[in-house]
This record gives sequence, C-alpha cells and structure tokens, in this order.
Amino acid sequence: MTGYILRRIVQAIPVLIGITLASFLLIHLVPGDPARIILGARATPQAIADLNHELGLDRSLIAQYVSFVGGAVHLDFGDSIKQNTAIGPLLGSRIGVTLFLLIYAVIISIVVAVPLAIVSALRRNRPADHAIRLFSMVTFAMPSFLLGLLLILFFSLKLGWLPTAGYGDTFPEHVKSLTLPAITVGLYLAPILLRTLRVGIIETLGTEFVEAARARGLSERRVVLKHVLRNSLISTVTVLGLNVGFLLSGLVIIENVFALPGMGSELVNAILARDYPMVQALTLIFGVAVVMINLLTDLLYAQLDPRVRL
Amino acid sequence: MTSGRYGAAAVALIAALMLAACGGSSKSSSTTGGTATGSQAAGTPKTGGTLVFARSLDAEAGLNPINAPNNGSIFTIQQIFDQLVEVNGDKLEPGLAESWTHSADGKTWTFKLRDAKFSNGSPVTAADVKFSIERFADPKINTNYATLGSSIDTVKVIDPKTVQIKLKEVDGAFLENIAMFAAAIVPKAVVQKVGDKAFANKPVGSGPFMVDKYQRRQETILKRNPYYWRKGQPYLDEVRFKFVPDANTRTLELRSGQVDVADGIPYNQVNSLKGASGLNVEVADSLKWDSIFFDTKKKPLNDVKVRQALAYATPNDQILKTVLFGNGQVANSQIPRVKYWDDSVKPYPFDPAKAKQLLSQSSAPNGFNMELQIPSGDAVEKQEAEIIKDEWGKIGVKVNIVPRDFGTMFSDWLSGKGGDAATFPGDALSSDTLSDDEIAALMYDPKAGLSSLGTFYDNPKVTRLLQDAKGTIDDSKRAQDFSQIQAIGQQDVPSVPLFFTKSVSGYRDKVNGFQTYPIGWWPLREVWMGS
Repeated sequence: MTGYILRRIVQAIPVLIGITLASFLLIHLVPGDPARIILGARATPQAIADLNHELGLDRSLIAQYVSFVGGAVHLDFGDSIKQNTAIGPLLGSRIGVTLFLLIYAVIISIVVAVPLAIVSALRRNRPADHAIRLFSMVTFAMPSFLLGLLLILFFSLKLGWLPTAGYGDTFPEHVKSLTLPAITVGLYLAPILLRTLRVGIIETLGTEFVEAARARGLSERRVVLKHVLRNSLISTVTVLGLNVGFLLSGLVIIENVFALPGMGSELVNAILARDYPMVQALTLIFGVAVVMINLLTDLLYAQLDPRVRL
Repeated sequence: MTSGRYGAAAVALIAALMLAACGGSSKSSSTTGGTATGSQAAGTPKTGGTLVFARSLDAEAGLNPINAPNNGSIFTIQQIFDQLVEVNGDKLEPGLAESWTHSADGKTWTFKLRDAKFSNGSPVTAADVKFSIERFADPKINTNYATLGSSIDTVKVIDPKTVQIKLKEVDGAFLENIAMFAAAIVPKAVVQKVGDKAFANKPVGSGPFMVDKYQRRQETILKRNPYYWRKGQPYLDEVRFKFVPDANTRTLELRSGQVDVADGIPYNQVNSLKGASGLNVEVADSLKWDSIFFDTKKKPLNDVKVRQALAYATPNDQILKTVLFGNGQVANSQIPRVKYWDDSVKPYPFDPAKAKQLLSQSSAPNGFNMELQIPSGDAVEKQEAEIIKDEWGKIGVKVNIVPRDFGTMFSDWLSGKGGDAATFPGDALSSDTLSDDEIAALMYDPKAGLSSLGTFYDNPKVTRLLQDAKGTIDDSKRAQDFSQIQAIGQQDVPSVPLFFTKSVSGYRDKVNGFQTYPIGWWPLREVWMGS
C-alpha cells in the first residue's frame, strides 16, 4: 500500500507544476488592465503606469512566474489588487467556508443517495423505483440557483427555520447558515451517486458470489449491506471523486446566492476585477484541491478493492 | 466612481416570476411604500438599536477615503468620516467647518473649524485639516481623483481653529469638490503612524460611526462614535452592513425580516415589494445615467446627422416602461442630473419618420452596420439593446450586439478599440460631487482623461464654456454656461441619452428616517428604529 501511495503522489507532481503554469499564464492571456480597474475612471496614464510598475506587472513573464511560485510555496500570494490586502490570510478565512460547505453537501448527498439507491435497485421497475428515478431527474436537472432560491423561499421565508443568507459567527450558526446551500449542492450531487450506485447494485446482485452468500443462508439484509453494497461502491466512489472536483467550480453560484464568504464567490469577483494575484492564488488552490481529491479517491478505491494496488 | 452590477442580473427574470407569484399569495393587503425620497419620520427619534443593511456592494477595497475606488467603499467611508463642507441631499452644508469666507477674487478661502473629535477622542485640529487637504491636492497621493483637487495651491494653518486655502485659479466647484469623500478630514497623527494601508483596514474619522468589525466581502459592523459632534446623533448604536451580492437573495432577506434595509432592488421587483406588508420601497433620484455612447471618430457616426437620426429612432418611453418599469426619467442631457441640470432642454422624441429623413440626408443615406458592445450578464442593458436594435433596424441601421466583460470592454472602449457604440452598466459611472464640473469634463472634454467617455467628442465651443464655468464663482453665470453646454451636447449627440436612473432600496416599517441621497449614499446618522 505504501508503495502505491508514494507512486500516486510522485505522479501528482508534474500535474501540480502544470497547474502553477496554467494558473499563471491564463490570466495574462486575457485582455484587461488591472491598474485601470483599480484606479478607476479618472486615473491618468502616468498613475496607471506607476501602479503597473508597483504591482510588478511591467516585469517579464518569467520574472513574474518565478516570484509567483516562490511566494506560493510559503503561502504568500502577495496583495489582492481589488481588496488592497494580503491574500494569504484573506483566503485562509475563505477556505474553511468552502470546505465546510463541500463536506456538508457530500454527507447530505450520501445520506440521500445510498438508501434510495438500495431501495431503487431492490424494487427495480416497480413504482418506488420509478418515483426515486423521477425525483433524481428533477433535482439533477434543476439549475442550482433556482433550487437555492426555492429552498430559501420555503424554509426561510415561509417557515422561518433557517437564515436566508450569510455565514454567521459561531459554529451552530455556521451549521444553520450552511444547511440550505448544502442541501442545494447535495441534491445536485445525490442523483449522480444514486444512479451509479443503483446500476452497481443491480449488477452485483446478479453475480455468483451473491447467490453463494444467499445459499449459505445469510439474511438478505446482510447480503445487501455487507456484500452487495461494498462491491457496488467502487464505481460510485470514483464518480463522487470526479464530481467533488467539478463541484468546486459549481460552488461559485451557490456562494453568490447565499452570500457565503467562500472561495467561489472570491474567484468570480477576482476574475471580473482582473485581480491577477488573487486569480492566480485561487486557480492554484482549486487546482491543488482537485489533485488532492483525486489522489484521495484513488486511495479510497485501493482500500475498497485491493486489486488496484497491484 | 465605478462599480459592478453585472453579476446580479442573470437570475432576475425567473426569480421575479417566482416572487410575483409569492407576493400574490401572501396575506399582505395595504402598506404600500411611498415612492418619494425619505422614509416616514413620524414621532421623536429614539436612540439605540441596530440597523442591518444588506448591500449589493462591499467595502472590500478598504476604508481609506483617499483613492477609495468604488461605491462599495465610498458609501461606508461616508458614515465614518466628515469633510469641511458636507453633502445634505442635493445641497451643501457646514461640516467640520462651521463657517467660511472667501476673498473677492474667489481664490482665498478661510474656514472656521467647529469643536469636533475623532472617534479615538483626539480633537480635530487645523493641522489635521491641512494634512488632509494637502493630500487631496497632491496628484501623487490622490491618484484616482487628482483633477478634483488640482486647483488647490496651499493650505495654511492660521490658528488651531482656522485654516486658509489658496487656489491656483478660481474654481467654481471648489466647495463641491472638498465635500467629496476623498477630501475627508483624517487624523494626521494616526495616518502618519500606521500608514495608508493599515489605515484602510482600521480607519479613524470624526463621522457618526466608527469601525467595530471589518470582514471583507462578508460584513462590516459600525458602532456609534461617542464623540460625534452633531448633538444626539447618530441615533443607532450599531450598523451592520451585510454583503449580499445576489439581488434576489437581498430582496428575500428583506422580505423575511433578516435585514432592515436592502439596496439595489431590481426594477422588476419594485411593485411586488411595494405590495408586501411591513415593507417600503424608496425610488430615489441619483447622479447616475444610462446612455448609448458613440465612437464619433468612426464612420458614419462621425456625421452628426447620423447620430441625431439614431437619437430620434430610440424609443426611450417604451424602454422606460418595459425594462425599467417606470423607475427612471427620460434623459435630456449627455450627463446626469447634477446641480445645473436644465429641464427646459427637450429630450429627443421618438420619431422614426424624422430619423429616416435625417439619415437620408446624411453620409449614410442607405443605412449601415454597426457594433454595439454591452456589458455581459447585465439583463437591463441587454433588454435595452435588443429593443434599440429592433428600432434602429427599421431605419436601416443594422446593429450587432456584442456582450463583453465590462472591465475589458471599458478599457478597450476608452482607447478607441471597442465597437462603434457602447453602453455601460447603469451604475458604472456617477458624479462624485454635487456640481456638474466633474462629470461634464469627463463627458465633453477629450483631454480630461477619458477621451470624452470614449466618444472622442471634441467641440471647442463646449470646452471653452467648461473653462468659463469653472473659472467663476458666480452661480448664475455658471448655470448659464452649463445650460448652454447641455443644449449643444444634445445637438451634437455624441451619445444617445436614455435615462436618468434611480437608486432603488427597500426598508422595513420600523426603520425611520432612511433616505438615499442623489450622490448614492445614505445619511445613516439620521436613521432610528421604531418598534
């Protein structure tokens, strides 16, 4: 197992270097002048040139790249152009929000998807299965901002149970504030898991070892939970891993709708403002996060199915 | 000042439908909010309480008055700082200066300071004023708004309560200029000790409130400044600015009562909010406007007849009704409604026959193709552009609408590399002062830094009138000059003016004394909470 982990980590290194290059170059390829945006409409050309110099944007791309990577290693991403303050500590407070939301959403999606998938697979082509599949189609197809707004309308405006927007100050407040956004994201993710898991269970149910387990007189409950579920989870874990990476980008809209001070809304803001250092830092962090999630998925996969370690 | 509206509009339509449905089913019956400026200030103001305010923009760029780049910061700064002379609605009133006099030639101004203290307890002295005004006048420090302080020559401390400002030349807008946020009086000792960057995070001013907690893009909490000089004010103990970028969420926050005030209410939700119980909507005049700007160097838009034809072919009334839901006024000027706005100048009526006739006499008698760039993601600008495309098409002008990210579009536009025409988000540009000089120079004077807002409009007669107006403190003379400029601008139409737009906010019944000044911010020191 150790060899496998090391191998996967070493393989991730070139990807990480690629990410630093891409995150650095991308924003430089896009037109737009950050100095003009910072200084506003009234600024003189001289003031703009001075600021570009101060920001180091008049240096060669290579020099800028070297100082970017050098800083990033120490989590020093420089100052945000738009927010006029150091990026490191600023993003420190944002990462927690986004991670919290992501984990909360994944838990909700699992709690929703796993039981429904089992029921759906065991009652294949019966009314319960159709109802579950219809439900999953609806929540999957609904745009997340719309689902979010509908949830707000119902749970905060009509029932008054949960806050409309914001993040709160204490842990219980965070949990309350993140519940609706996490449900929104979770209900998007759940159908994907549900469908993969349902197919997985149906396939596994038809295999010989399940017959064998039943023949040994194991209870149906034990057969499903112990033998079928574990073997069906493998593909679902892969799908989950891929989608969590993808979700990181989807959080942008949710964070905006629910006024959450997370990384997603920060990224949109930074891109619109041509906040180069901020965009670079965020792209890098998002990139690294996706690599880490994939790595984690691979490790979990190996844990579930020892054959992949070979 | 620039700001961004383009993020919020994408979901407006669907949500509006939802909200319309929701509004209909709720039990609310009466309590329609007034559409005029100012909330009901019945009864005696009560001290205490917290105002929770959901804002579309955040003070993310810091809280330093000098160089504050956008309304997110500026509107918060105005709650924390004072100027010598201050804005009250569309007028000026004494601020930290209780009185002032000027020499006969208008070049020497003497200000008498009142007794006031900064929120750290130290008195506001003439030395602080000298320090602050000198910073405002220094183009190396005040880089963003250098032109507004450029007429100031020297600032002299006469005694601890008297300051004398000498001007290089007469400046008709001098008082309006030093009433802007960038000329706020800051404590010299604090700024020199901590530096501008730290000051932006932990500012100290003499205004009604002081910063208690400042979390960028999340929340800014202001507390009452115990030393504030206006007796009895502010009434509130605390103001919580909550950053809620999504317009629909902001509206829902207001409806659910989780906030007391929300700004930037979308036009299409005004009516449904007015019908909700416990809520009021304020549709306030602003110094913002919406136009279609032409690049007057490009053919055939360099021909004034072509531009006039397009102005006649623009159905302002229809757009006002369908897109802005009536929340605006058809514009009769190339610039917003500032001090010397002349309502006797007629707006272009919608007259397709006249438009066709003018076009037939122009350099493009058979019509032409043009590219109109609009800010992407801005539903209002997009709808406006679609209607205009339709109408201009009828006189033979084929419009190609190109939505672009506003930041990039704006810098391209100013350098003449944009399309043939452009619109900006309705609140992208507004006047920072109560006088016409600033925004008129930007619009009409190609040398004022923005190439006449990218139109490259250059009429020597207008630039001379601008200088004449600036060069006198005779108000009636200035009014005449600006009125002439307005009339000539409308003849030359470097842009088709669409609307003077409004600031739309909603507030709950318990909020008293709330109002939005035309300049955009709110005198929250006057707000008090009822039961």
